[in-house]
Amino acid sequence: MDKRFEDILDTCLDRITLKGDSIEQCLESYPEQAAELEPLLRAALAIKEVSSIEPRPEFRQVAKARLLSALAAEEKKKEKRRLPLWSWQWRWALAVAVILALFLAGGGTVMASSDSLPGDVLYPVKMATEKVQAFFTFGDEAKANLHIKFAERRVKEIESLAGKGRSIPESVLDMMREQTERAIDWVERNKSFKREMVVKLVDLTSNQKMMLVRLTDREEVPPNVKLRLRKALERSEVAHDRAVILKDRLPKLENLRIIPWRNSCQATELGTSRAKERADGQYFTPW
Amino acid sequence: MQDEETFAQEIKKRDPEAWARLYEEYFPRIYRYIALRVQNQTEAEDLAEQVFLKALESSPSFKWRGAPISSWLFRIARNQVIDYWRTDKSKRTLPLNEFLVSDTIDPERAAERNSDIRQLIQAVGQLTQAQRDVIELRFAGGLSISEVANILGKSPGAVKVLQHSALATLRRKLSGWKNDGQTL
Repeated sequence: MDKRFEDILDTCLDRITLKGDSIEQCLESYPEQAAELEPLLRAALAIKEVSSIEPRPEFRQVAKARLLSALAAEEKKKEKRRLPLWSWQWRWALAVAVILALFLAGGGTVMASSDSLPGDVLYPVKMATEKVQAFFTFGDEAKANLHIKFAERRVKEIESLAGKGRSIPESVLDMMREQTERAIDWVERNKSFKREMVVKLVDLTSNQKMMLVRLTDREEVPPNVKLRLRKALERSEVAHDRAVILKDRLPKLENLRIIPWRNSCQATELGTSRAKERADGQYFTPW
Repeated sequence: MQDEETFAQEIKKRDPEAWARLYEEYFPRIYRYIALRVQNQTEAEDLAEQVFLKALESSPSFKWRGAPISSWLFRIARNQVIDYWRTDKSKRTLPLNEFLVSDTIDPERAAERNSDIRQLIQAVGQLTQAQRDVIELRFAGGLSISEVANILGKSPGAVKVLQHSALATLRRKLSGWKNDGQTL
């Protein structure tokens, strides 16, 4: 085979794809090989153009957020490893101290704290109660549900603060975001997630977005708080996109035929194999 | 992109800005390469994301030996696709779905392009594995001959020979195709 021809072909390909030369310009440079070169260059150009497919923009944005959040999590882990060995013992001691304090303070205080808002005297009691609750919740799914519940609470607290004309601290917006992201992380990590939980996440993130848009539009909200709300809105939009992508990946109900026999379902040929596994939180018997 | 060695050091140190740049620069190219190989948009997106997460995981042991970062990423992508096909043969029955084509929002044109993509996938599927590797990395991944050679562990000369024979075969398989008004 003519070795030189391959070099010419490659030079032309680079000229056309990288430098923007036309096929004709290239052929002019190699008149002797032009007849053989032309069909190959046209084929290469067609292949290049046809393969210019793109990922969905929303997926691209969400995948980037996930990559950067994985990067941040890795760094956090590294920092944790640098902490002295007894740090986990401190966490236990803190949990025991909080339980003791709550026991001494009495159930009434805990009850009274449930309606408190950020900035109230009893709000730290509410937070401590939530921490204890999270500490004694076991299993990923139960934890994810708890995070959804807490994030919903934060939404209500923010609305109440705004309704009363009180300032919205950054910490409550951060907590709402963190609790939402933790729940989404769990669902993304676990392939056998339930439809019900994904729907909850979509509702939660959608409510957060609407609430933040409403508050940002209010004239009486001071500019520094508006800035905080806008930042929270951006994060909330990413979280919502992630939840919607999870929902999109659930198989469409209409593509599934429920077969009562053996209490299992069969996906029609329209569903993908992965869709078959995930439908409605059910596990499918492969036919 | 800045000096490759400095960039590689930043990636190794897990600098968030460098990772964001790496993602922006390579995600669409990695996705295109994988999409042609797995022929399914959702699966391709998942795998492309996994490539970056795997790269992040292995970045502390990454050593810059003069080869561009692209070689490292595409090697991960190639292994990812090989594992994908190896682990579950039932994936071969996944339906070809509609791809999002970059240059058009006109649904009629998009359908036409999707039909072209299917024909291209079929034609590329008839090449030898070595020819396929070259065409997919070179045209979908947008890599240079030396980058492709580095990933495949072949000499640039051998890659050029494969490129030539693959294009000649594709030209025959795709004869009658129209591109920019020109029939192949």
